[in-house]
Amino acid sequence: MAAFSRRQFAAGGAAALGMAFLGSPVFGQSNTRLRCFWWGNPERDRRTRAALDAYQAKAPGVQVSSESIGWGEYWTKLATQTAGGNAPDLIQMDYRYIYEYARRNTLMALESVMPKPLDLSNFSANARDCGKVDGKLYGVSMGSNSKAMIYDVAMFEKVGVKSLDIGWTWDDMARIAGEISKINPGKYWGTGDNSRWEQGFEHWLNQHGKNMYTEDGKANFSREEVAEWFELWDKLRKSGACAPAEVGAMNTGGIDMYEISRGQAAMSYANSNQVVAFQAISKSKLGLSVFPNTPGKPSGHYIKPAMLMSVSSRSRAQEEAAKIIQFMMNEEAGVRALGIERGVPGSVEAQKMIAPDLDDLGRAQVDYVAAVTKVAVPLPPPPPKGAGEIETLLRRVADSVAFGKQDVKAGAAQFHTEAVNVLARA
Amino acid sequence: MNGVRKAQTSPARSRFRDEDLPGYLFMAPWILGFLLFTLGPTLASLGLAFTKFDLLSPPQWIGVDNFTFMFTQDQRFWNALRVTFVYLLLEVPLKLAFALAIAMAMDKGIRGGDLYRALFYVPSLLGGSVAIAVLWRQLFQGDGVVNQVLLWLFGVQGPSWISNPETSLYTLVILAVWQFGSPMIIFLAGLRQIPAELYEAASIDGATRWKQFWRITLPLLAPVLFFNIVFQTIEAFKAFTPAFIISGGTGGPVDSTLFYTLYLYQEAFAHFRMGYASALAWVLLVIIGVCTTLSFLASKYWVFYEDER
Amino acid sequence: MSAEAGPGQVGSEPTIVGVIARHVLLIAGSVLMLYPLLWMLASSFKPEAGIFSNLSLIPPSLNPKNYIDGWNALEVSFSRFYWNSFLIAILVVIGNVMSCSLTAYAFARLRFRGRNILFALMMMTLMLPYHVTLIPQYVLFLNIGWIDTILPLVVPKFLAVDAFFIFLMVQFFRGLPRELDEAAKIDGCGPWRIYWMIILPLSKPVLATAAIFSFLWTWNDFFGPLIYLNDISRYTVPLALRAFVDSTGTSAWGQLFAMSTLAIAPIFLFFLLFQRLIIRGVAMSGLKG
Repeated sequence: MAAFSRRQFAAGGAAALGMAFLGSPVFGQSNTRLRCFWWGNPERDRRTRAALDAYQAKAPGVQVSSESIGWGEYWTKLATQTAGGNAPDLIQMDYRYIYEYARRNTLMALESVMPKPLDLSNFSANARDCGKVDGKLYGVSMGSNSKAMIYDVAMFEKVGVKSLDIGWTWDDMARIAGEISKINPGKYWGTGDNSRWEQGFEHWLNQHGKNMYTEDGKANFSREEVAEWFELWDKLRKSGACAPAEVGAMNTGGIDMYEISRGQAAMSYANSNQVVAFQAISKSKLGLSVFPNTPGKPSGHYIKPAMLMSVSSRSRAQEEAAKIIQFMMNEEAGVRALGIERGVPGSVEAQKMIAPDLDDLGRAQVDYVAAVTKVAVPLPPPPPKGAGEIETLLRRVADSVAFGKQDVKAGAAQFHTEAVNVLARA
Repeated sequence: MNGVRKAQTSPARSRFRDEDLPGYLFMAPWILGFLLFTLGPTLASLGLAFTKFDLLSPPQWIGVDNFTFMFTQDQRFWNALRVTFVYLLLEVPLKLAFALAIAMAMDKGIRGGDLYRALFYVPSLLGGSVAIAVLWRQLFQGDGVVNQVLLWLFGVQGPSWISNPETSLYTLVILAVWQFGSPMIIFLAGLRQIPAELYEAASIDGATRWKQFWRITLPLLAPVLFFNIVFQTIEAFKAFTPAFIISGGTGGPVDSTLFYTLYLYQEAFAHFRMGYASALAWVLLVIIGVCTTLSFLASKYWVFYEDER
Repeated sequence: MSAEAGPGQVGSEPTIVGVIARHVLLIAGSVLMLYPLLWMLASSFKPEAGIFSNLSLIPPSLNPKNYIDGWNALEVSFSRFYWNSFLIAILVVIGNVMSCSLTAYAFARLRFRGRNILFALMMMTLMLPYHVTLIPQYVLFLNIGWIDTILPLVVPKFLAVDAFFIFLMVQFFRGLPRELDEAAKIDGCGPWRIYWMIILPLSKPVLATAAIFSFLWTWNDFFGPLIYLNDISRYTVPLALRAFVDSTGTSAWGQLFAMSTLAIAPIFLFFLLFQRLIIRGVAMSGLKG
């Protein structure tokens, strides 16, 4: 223990020395340098860099370097950089991780830079408060989203479905998917396999009036509920409506790996803001809808921040970082550069600024979030530490069920036991 | 090794002292590097193996808990060991068999031998490169080249090899076997040192090719074969990049390509259990150590070096 | 060619049929071996649609569109990635050759106390899986502020951390006639001059081998850059390729294959230029592969 705290002390010293060296005015002009880090996709990267360029153009002497990487590796890199006192100044945060980072004092409480330069008075209360941890604001919501089923419009039309009702049910889904699977049998299926997505299961639990995790971070579901979920998808697979295990297993989480992107199914399950990125790489026209309903039950959808922007507690340019967030959230150039790729902006003013830029799909996304808001369930507490691992655990166990390596019951038991273990160890 | 010569040319112990200073000076970079980048980190990771350490907060001493959990409860650990050993036991013999077969076909002064040798070596150049993993993923997916060829040749629709847990590991085995160039070249070098007279004498005695192989080629090649086995085994234990790229870092589907090293990487950098990952690393080190020692012990019975004859 | 092939099996006179059979086997084998690579090369010229269904090795045209588009598909162009990879590889080559030859010389020729223990330690590091040192090393580089620079990838190489090359060089140096240094010693040469004037000039093959393999391995290395480099403008070619997969994925196979081809092109070039040295190097001792 003692040795490590000494090491950390040394680390702090070295970092400070390094910073001092970097920060000193080398060429007579003092430059403020910041790093901004996000997980992304090409569309998001392009937009974010455009926004940062616009900011640098109007703030001479400020240099923002940008780093972007896929979701999985993002948390690896962020954790290692944070541990070394080398965190980026501007950090894109997820609802799933903000408690963990905030409670370890690695993020800056933003009250000290509000309302000037950072002014969130135009934000709706929900959009503003979702970045609060223990009463203090640690992240600014960059936009709201909800889970969404993303579908191939032309394929739906082929089987005579012009539009989906917000109350559509699992039975409707099974029927439509079954028909689509008949168009090009063995090559193209109605729906991708969602039994393996943790948030799909979470949604299904929400639909049955439960949160996936308790407030104190324990598993809030039973073996039987897991079995029911697996059973639901097992039937869809067996009936041919859902893509088989082999196809599902190709989906490793990148947007390009989803069944709909790979041209193997007409429905995939993701988040509403991601439709922008899906459309950017898709050759067919996409639409979005709520997940199928269970009749007589809540929708299971909730509105959450798609992602938040936080400032490192160690940043030496916190004021400047706050100004950049302000620029992205409230100033026309920044807001329009980002568009709604990160979800529907929390500020009503910002929503107005982007309105003229929206294409059909953009408008569909705004309408979608508005429609879901009306049927939404309350935002559950953020998932506990270890939830990320449960995501991969479910993928693994659901696959083994899909491949027939074990039956639904055994799979449900395995998932439940291991999930409890993971949460206990986290 | 140089004992005899040493005695002849440097009788005095003072010579030994004379070269102390230059010796250490020449060694200085290595010593510094060894302390900083090998010994220090190795000891640190040994210490970490007994802690719970998530990078963000200081390590907590937890005694042998990591090891207890690993051996008694961690199914993925055992699975990763199984996957690694299946891979290794398939890959090493197959790779060496191909290497030896091609080397023998190329030996005996065939025309264009150099060209063949170069062509067969080309895949090995690319090692664990990202480009090759990307290519492999394409070749073995559902609509990939392999299935196109199968369809064209036999009219059979093959499965999606890389996304099926029954077959995915074999695509990695094939990838490794495909890169048999290095052992091939080493065999070739070994084959060329076998005196032709031995074969001549054998064929005069009426020994068949098959017999010649077992009686002459293999015994004389034993040191080279042994070297290849040890090196390829260690390399197989360390294999990482192809599994990482092809499975998108998951070791999937259903952990069927979860190499030990990949599991270790996940525990460290995806789940932030640095202490546990360090414990895994040390167990891997012990396993490699034991395997190497065993093969050296076993080699006494089948590998004979020339000077021992 | 046949001159180098050494003693053949004169005893078992190869028949014409046997020779032809062997050629057929070898040609079929090489085609099978190279088909995936050639297919990738051909596909890099094909238009997006129909890449998969097309098994042909002959591209419909030599349209460089995929190359041009792919080259500039990321935020930073591939010229930058090439330069980064090249810079790191060259520095690693210099570092390895310098530091490993110094160390190997000491092991092979100088007698100093503790040499055998140090040699044993060095041999042990050959077996050490890099995962053992990975985490503490990362923390170390973090503490000295080297993350997101090329220093963690380069500086250790100047401190002879690649035990494999030391081993290779020790083997080679030991094979050089000791009489040469003894004579030089009588002429009053110190260890440095013997190393510089005698051993190094005689060791060009092994030095070149170490240099070539340092280059190839560094060029292909994915894990090190993945961990240590953050900013896209510092990416090496393999990292950029990975980013390319992430960002365009299945939507741009043609470009992906074009960039993959370019990523391995320098290695082929190297192989064409230094084939003999590479093969001799492998033959000298078993290399990775």
